[in-house]
This record gives sequence, C-alpha cells and structure tokens, in this order.
Amino acid sequence: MSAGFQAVQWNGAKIRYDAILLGLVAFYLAGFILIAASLHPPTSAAGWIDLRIKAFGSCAFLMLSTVLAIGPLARLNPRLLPLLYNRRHLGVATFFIALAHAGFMVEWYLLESDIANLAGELTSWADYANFPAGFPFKALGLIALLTMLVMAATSHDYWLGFLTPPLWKAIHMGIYVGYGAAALHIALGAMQSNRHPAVPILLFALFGTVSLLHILAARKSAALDIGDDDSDGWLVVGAASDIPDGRARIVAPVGGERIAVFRDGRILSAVSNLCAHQNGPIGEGHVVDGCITCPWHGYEYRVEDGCAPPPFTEKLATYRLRLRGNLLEVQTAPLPPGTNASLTLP
Amino acid sequence: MTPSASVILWGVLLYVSAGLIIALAFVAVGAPRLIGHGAADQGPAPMTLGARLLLIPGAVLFWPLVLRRWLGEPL
Ligand code: HEM
Repeated sequence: MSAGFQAVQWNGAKIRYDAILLGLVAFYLAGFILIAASLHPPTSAAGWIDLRIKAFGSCAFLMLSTVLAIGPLARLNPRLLPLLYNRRHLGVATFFIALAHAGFMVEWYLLESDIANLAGELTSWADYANFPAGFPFKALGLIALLTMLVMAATSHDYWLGFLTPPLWKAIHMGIYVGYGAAALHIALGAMQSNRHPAVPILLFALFGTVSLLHILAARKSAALDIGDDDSDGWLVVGAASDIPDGRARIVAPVGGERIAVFRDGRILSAVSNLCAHQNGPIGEGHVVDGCITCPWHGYEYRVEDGCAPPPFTEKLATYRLRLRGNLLEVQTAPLPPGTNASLTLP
Repeated sequence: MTPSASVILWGVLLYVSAGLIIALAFVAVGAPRLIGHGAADQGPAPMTLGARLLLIPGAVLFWPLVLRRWLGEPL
C-alpha cells in the first residue's frame, strides 16, 4: 500500500501465482517447439528461429487474451477473483514473451540479410495500401508491442499515484488498441503466409471468446444498474438480514456511482464501490478482521468509516444508512471520504 | 535505409536519450518527493533501490510528464 514503495510486494499467494504462470509458459513453449520440430524438423538455423518466433508469438497472443478475459470472467463468477488478484504480473510477463518474439525476428534478419531491410520494410509507405496480403503486418506487431511496453512500464503502484488513477486507467485502456493491433498482425501476417488452419482457428477462437466475455459482463453490470426509484435521495437496499455476513450488496443510484453496502455482524456500512487504489470493485470483496478487503489487490478499509488502518491513509467515500422497518435504505449523496456513517443493528 | 526510416530512428533515439538522463535523475532524487504517502503532509515516501530501478522504463517513456511535475506544474 502507500507507506513507501518496494520493487514488488510479494506474498505467498503472489509467489504461487507466478510459479504456476512460469510453469505454464515454459510448458507451452517447450511443447510447441518439441511437437513442431518433430513433425517438421527445421533444416536450417533460420528454420529454428522461425519456430521460436511462432512459439513465442502464439504464446504472447494466448497470454494477452487471457489477461483480457480475466476481468469479465471475475465479474461473471466471483470464484475466479483469485485470477484477477495478480493479473499485473501476467501482463508484464506477456510483454516479455512478446518482446522475445520480436527479438527472434531481429535475430532472423541479422542471420538472413541486412537488418536495415527491416526498417526499410516498415517505411515503404506504398505497401500500406496492400490488403490483405503484402501489408506490413510487422508494423501492427510493433504497435501491439509498444502499447504493451507502456502498460508494463507504468504497472508499478508508484505510477498509479503519480499519474492519478483516472489518467492511469485511461492509459491502461490502451491495451485494447494493442490487442486489436495484435489480432490484425496475425490476420495480415501469419494467416496470409502460413496456410496452417491452426492460425485462423486460434485467432478467431481467442478474439471471439474475449469479445463475448466482455459483452456478457457488460450486460451483467447493466442489469445491476437498473436502480430502484431514488428520487427522494434514498435508495432501497433490501432487508439488512439479506446481506450475507462479511459481504456487500451493490446498489446503483440512477446516473450515480455504485454503492457497496457491507454487513459485518451487526454493523452495516455503505462505501463507494470504487477502491481508492485502482478503482477495483470493492463491493465484490469481503470483510476480514473488521476491514473491507478489495478483491483486486487486497487494499483494506475499516468497515465503520472507510479509512485504511494506519499507517495507510486511503479513504473511501461513505454514505448514510437508515432502517425503515426491516428495510435498509442508503442516501445517494456521498459523505466526505472517511466519515463514520455506520449503523449498528439492534 | 530509406530517409523516413532514418528520421524516425533518430527521433526515437533522441527521445530515449533525453528520457534516460531525466529518468536517472528522477529515480535518484525526485521520485520520492513527487508523491506523498497519499496525504500531502507526510513528506517523501520511502523507496527501496529495487522500486527505483523499476521506475526507470516508465520515466523514460513519460519524461515530459515527469519533468512537468518536477517543475511544479500539474500533470
Ligand atoms: C515488433 C513487434 C513484432 C514483430 C516485428 C513481429 C513479427 C512477426 C513475424 C515476422 C511473424 C511471422 C509471420 C509469418 O509466419 O508469416 C509473426 C507472427 C506472429 N506474431 Fe508477431 N511480431 C511482433 C509483435 C507481436 C505481438 C505483440 C504479438 C502478440 C501479442 C504477436 C503475435 C504473433 C503471432 C500469434 C504470430 C503467428 C505465429 C504462428 O505462425 O504460429 N506478434 N510476428
């Protein structure tokens, strides 16, 4: 959290996540190269480099698709939230795999011909009119790689604070541009030259799945947004006893930010559904030892007043609550962050 | 190499060189001071050497923003 900065904030869960990630990547790359080399043994040094380009390129696209699928998957099924927890390391690893893919291609040019041809190829502007075959698809790969570089280089929490969360988030939305560029890079490159049916199948299956998941998750969020009438400034949350202990119910005022109403035993409290760290969906987290814990990166806030426990200083906006009979209601106007507005049930 | 390729390459080289100089100065002295604990009154945030090294690539890419903040202007 923000009491100082370390290189990486490791913990047991993150180390396990990264070990599994590294294992899967190594398994994929070794499997790809072994199988492909036994089916069609490369006959030259350039052939071996080509194989590595393919193994690392397809691995990068698979990883990038996974990175983008995790967000909507976790929204659709909260049991998948652990995947989200350390998605940042998956993203940075994806960048390095893509970088290796591009590096092997540079190695190939160094071996085969003059490296200056590569720069010339990317700046033969007339070629950009060729479609679909003959388009300089490497330029699209370069765009994808550069967007991933920007994401990886600003992935440290420091940059989140420096750039401010809204700007940071806007920059990181650029990953969708990168994903589109990577998909086109494959469609105009490998799909044109490499007649193997696995290329279009991989491309359309992954791109289609990622798009579908985003549509499904957006529909689920939209369903949540159909709030109840809040014209008097108060919104019905439901029966207090319907909120599971230690969890929240998320409500959405018409046109306003979502509100997460938590219950911790007999204490009820309402906070903004946006985590002060990265705007994570705090209402999808649960209460651990009296603190609301964000499912994204484990940022904690006291249930009563939305303040992070010392030495941390983050605060969430809170909301006033009232009981009308058995029915819990929340006022849609936020209170200053850190205001204690909790309610204790009798 | 085509003329446009060398113009682009030189441009990138200049941007990155300027970025490297600013980034090194930034992680050595500026970085902890440019961001508080989250509250303005708490002084510089402590940073480990590892954290400083990890900030270099971002500072090279975004050096114009870094410089602006360092000179006391808003982003
Ligand atoms: C500077 C950046 C890049 C360059 C120069 C580059 C270059 C290449 C080249 C030369 C090929 C071989 C095409 C063929 O077989 O005809 C290729 C294939 C491929 N690239 Fe890239 N690439 C770059 C970035 C990326 C990125 C960022 C991704 C994914 C995130 C990616 C994914 C792929 C995939 C999936 C293939 C097809 C592999 C296969 O045939 O199995 N590339 N790239």
